[in-house]
Amino acid sequence: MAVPDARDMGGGPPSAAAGEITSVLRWDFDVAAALKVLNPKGYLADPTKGGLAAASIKWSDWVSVGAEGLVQAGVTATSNSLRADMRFYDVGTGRQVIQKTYEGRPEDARAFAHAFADEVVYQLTGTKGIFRTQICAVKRTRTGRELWVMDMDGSNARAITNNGSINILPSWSRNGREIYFTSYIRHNPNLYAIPVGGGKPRLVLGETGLNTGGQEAPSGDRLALTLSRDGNSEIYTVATNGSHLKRLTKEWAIDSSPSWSPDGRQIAFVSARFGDPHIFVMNADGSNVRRVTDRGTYNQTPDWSPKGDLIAFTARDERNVFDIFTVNPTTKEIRRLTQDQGNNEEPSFSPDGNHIVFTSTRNGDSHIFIMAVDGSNPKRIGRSGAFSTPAWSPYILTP
Amino acid sequence: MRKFGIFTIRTETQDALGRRPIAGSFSFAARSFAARPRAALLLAVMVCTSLTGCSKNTADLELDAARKAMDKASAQKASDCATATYKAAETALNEAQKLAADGKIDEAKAKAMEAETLADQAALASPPGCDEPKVATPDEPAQPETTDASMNLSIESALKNVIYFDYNDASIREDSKAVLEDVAALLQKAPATRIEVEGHCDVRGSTEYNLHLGERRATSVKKYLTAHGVEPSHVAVISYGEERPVDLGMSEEAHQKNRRAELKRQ
Repeated sequence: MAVPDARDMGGGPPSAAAGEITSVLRWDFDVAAALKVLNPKGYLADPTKGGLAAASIKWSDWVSVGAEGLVQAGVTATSNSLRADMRFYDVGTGRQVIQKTYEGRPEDARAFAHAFADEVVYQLTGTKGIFRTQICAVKRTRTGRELWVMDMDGSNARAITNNGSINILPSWSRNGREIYFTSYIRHNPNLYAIPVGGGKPRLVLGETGLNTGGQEAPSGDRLALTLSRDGNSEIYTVATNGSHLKRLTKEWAIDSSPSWSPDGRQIAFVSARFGDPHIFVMNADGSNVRRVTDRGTYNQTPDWSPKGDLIAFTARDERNVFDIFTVNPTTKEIRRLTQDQGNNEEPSFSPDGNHIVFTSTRNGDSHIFIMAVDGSNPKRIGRSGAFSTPAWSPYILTP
Repeated sequence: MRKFGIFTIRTETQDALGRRPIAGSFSFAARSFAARPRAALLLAVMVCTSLTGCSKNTADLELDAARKAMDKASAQKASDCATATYKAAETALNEAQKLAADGKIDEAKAKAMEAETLADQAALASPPGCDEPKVATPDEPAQPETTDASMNLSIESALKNVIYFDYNDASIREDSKAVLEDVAALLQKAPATRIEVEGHCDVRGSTEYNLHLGERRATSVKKYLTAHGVEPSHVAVISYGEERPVDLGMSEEAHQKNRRAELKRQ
């Protein structure tokens, strides 16, 4: 893929918006693993010359640098408006595949570029792009823990709780509008839901003891979560309005951290019933419990891929370092995704199932990273600060 | 093999990590260090002793410190006010002296440091006046329900004790039992007192699992107290998992300080 600099259609010096669109497009295609972005330094074509249209493109310039796809963007920016014309060409045939024009305000530059990258990825792979999805994570503050939401590239990060208490374990509602989390705002660690834009938390469940890890079922009508109300940590389901509490596990040891299979028929979870914590799977009614990790001694934080074939988890290895692994729940085949890069923990799948967000201490403090599902192409996103438990949103409908 | 290492099976038990001795009696020293900074001094002396040979290899320093701590506890009437802890300290000191006499220097040092820790805890739980009998005035009938000022002080002091745990484990360690027995005895004498046990973990492991582990630690403390006569409804539990560490470091000492239960008056 070749992504030459976006050009200013007015012909003036490059605007901030054009620069932003160029960098977002390059970053996005680089993340979408199949679309390797060629180094712009090697491009033969002069980005200030020629037009956007197929007729004005010298195709030999792109064929000779090895590009198969070409994205060109033209920007018209004023102090309060932005118009971006973006096109995707198949270099081999010299054919224009996608053409989109976006109009809005100057601050929409990133969103326009992400939207176009989504179009291109869909065209090439048949899978919806993830570039307008978001990530919610917990940030350590001086007084406690607050929830932060950011775009999947780390931009537009903002706190959505600011109550000074401990707010942890975020998870997205299936429609992407609310985030479930556990908070100590009323002393007992209850389960709440808060609009993604922030606002007043709504109490979902306040059983005595821990109310943690609420995960909405794919059907959106109930949650799986862990409660300690019966004297021990067990997994339950409950309707999203807090009614119809149903206990699924009954073990002396810790059972926690449920994660739904995409068809809603099974739940992955952590259990220490055989001594060490391991990843287990059960039917959504609590029946047919089976262990899926038979290696390691400390496996936690399962997250079931939206594609259904993998469960990502955190494991402590033989050197007492934490790393990300995946396990196929049917074959039990385990693959290691991170190694020798600090501690890597708390994986959460992107909605296309092709990427994983996680925390890593490879640069010192605990930062947020994303990588491809095979462990390749790790990229740090977002600002500095101690972050934990990132959760990748579902596809979010943008107006 | 560049990227995907082999996910091997660890044959050691989980607990082995938390207890793994680093060098001789060092692991116990680390545990004491968690409880009181003064042991760090002893640790430094010990390291000096074993690494540089700058003084002869005996347990004299540790025994001396333990005896002084016992004297202080004794002067504060800890044998009356924190009976179980005081007795445990006494036993530990006797054992340490015996080990030293038998030439088991490292074990003697460890035991002496345990005695010193326990003696300090007993002294802490014995504020001035704690041994004075609560005499009812002639015109007022005895009111065992009332917590008078000195009892209050005793409870405050006793609740300052922190209960430490091994890695990924929620069972009450031997070195905490005497302290909890004293707390239980005090709470029975002051039935109006309500406490909350806070369970905490070190920062390793997942947020959610650690919340549940912390809950088990707090519940273990509650069970120990109720097994020693405390009314279950008088003890609440709450877990903060790894969210409220007392030490943000990543050393084993920091981890040990964070694996704890705290007793809070409600």
